[in-house]
Amino acid sequence: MTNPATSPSLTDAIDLGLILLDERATVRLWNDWLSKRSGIGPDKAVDQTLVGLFQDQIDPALLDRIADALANGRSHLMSSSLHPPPLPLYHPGTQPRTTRLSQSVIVRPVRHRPGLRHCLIQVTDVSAAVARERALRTQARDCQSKAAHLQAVLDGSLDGVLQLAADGTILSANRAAHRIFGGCMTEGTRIDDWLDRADGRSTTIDIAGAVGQRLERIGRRDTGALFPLEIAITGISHDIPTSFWAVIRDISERKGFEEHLAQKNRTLAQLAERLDRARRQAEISCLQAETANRMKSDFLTTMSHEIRTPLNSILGFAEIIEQRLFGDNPGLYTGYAGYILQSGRYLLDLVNDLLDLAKIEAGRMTIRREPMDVFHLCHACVSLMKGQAADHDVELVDKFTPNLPLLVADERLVRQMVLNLLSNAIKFTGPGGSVTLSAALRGDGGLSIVITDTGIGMSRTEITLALERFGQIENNAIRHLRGSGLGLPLVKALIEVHGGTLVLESEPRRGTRAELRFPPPLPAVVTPGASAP
Amino acid sequence: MMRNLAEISEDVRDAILEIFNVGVGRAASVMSSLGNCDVSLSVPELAIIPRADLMPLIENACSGAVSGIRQGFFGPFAGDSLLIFPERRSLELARSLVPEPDQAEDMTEMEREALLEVGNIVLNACLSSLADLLHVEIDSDVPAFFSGQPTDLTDRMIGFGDCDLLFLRIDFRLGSGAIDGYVVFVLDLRAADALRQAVESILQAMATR
Repeated sequence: MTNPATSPSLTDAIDLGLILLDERATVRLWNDWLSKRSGIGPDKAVDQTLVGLFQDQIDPALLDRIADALANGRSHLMSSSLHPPPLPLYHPGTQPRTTRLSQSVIVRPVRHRPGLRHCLIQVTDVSAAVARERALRTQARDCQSKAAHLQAVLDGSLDGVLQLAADGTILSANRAAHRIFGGCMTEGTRIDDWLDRADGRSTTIDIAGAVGQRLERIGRRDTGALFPLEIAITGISHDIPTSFWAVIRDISERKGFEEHLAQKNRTLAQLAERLDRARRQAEISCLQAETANRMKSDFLTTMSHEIRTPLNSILGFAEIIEQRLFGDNPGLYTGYAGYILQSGRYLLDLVNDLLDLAKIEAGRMTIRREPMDVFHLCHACVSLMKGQAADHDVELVDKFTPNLPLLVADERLVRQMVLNLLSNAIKFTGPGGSVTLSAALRGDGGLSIVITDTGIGMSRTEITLALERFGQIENNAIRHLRGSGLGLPLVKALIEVHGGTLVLESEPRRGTRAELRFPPPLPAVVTPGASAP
Repeated sequence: MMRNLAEISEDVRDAILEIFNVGVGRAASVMSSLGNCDVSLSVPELAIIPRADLMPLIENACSGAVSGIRQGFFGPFAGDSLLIFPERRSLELARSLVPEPDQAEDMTEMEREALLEVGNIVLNACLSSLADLLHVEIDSDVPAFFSGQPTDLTDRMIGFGDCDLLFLRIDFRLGSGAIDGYVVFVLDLRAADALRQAVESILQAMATR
């Protein structure tokens, strides 16, 4: 029989180490695989014990297993995970021999004869498997680490993150998504289930088509509350099938802030407009105040002149009379007394006008309304002004509609208004001109007294100025005609006290029409002959 | 005759239990010497059951897939020894043994090999106890790994026909955790008969004490 330990055999072709020990634990078989990895050939190994071959380089645990197999017939397995490599075996050709092969060792008893056992030791090189597992473990750890990082980012994210299938089914949701949608966002629902269906845009999202876009939608929390949200969808095409991720941001705050900002802008714009209006008003008021101030100064200058002139006249003529400067000439002194009287009356009128205006301004003007005949009043006024008209060579005409109703007004004040207007009209109408006084019933039932002249007329600006209190028209042509500047403002104030209006129509060199428009009587106009209410 | 085995008294059962406890105690010391695992083993339960009762027992104990180590034995009589774990627990045990455990769902090659060695140590220890009990020499085969449903297990034992099973529950205590495993000896007629005789002699010894 061929000695298997010394001649090439099937055992040398096997890709594992085979050692056969006899009942005395001496080597009977040592294959080529072992020779290459231990550096010990079969010629040296056979008839030696393993301790004799390897001394203290062999794991005692392996020796225990061998002893148990030979004595008690137990098979043993020594795994590479639980043991350091038990035999000093190395990769063939590697120098220096420092790192042992990873080994998995099986020790099995072989019944030789009744009561006698041999022991077969099988050594497998598991280096490749160990290296493979180590690499896999490293990869797995890397993956776990990356997954842990990703999970930490997902857990800590303030935005909701959903993993979606192509049909919108939610595969997973992070904490923020649960928080945003109300804490019970069940996985397996579709993203569309969490959007407002009332909003036509929101009912379905084409997930694949929306990759790379940012969509604004109305979200619906589990409480039913709606809120604006922004969705950004990404696709990972490396995954099979492609996986989709949706990052969801609750933009309620942003929208609220935008709305708040818009509201603030609107308020600011309104404020700016009001400020602008106030500024313009202030400018106008300032201008008016400046104008009023200037007119008051002008008025005071005028008034002092207006008062001083008749006073000079009164004092001058009174002194001539008192000292009889022209001897005993009663006719002459009587004429001078007339001048004094005329100047005194003028002064009185001036003071009265001033007092009336002051009263009206202070709101203390009281009027005594009573029915009066306009015809008689106007006739009396015309008679009064005839002399003045003749002095100015102006024709004074009165035209009256017959059967005018009685006017309920303060007669003294109406007379004052008519005389003022007539006096003005005569004053500003040159020689040869005419002044016409008329009264008529208007369509609305109110009475109007109209004074028309053929005088120098006024421009629109001059009309406005003439109606201002203390207003005087600056015009060299009429400087000599200037009055106190109280006539027209006083008339305007008096007619307004009656609830009526003064209408002035004029054009330069085309004359002036002044209309006193009394309001329609309430409750009814009293006709002549009827008793007053 | 076989029924007698099932009817042994509590005292005898305790005595057999003690013998197995000594055996697995030796296994624990071997495992502790491996360095990576601080293990204590004990056999808290022993039952001798007909083969038909194994399936429901395993199903009840493991509830689901099982995995474990199978090691045949032979000599004057032959049979199969099995160490069975609920599949999930076997993974936990394997993970507790290797220095750099993987977190993957499935057991790796190295983890499986480590578990095989643990099974080998435990089953060898139990076989030694059984051999001591029966005063016979029992040689063991190389261990093999298996996993599947409890029914797959009984299918593997189809060659044995109706026979008695020695069923041991073993506590593995690893640090703070505890893992239950189950050791099953499938005994052929001769083995069962030898066990019966051994039990009878224990009974007689106890009676004459």
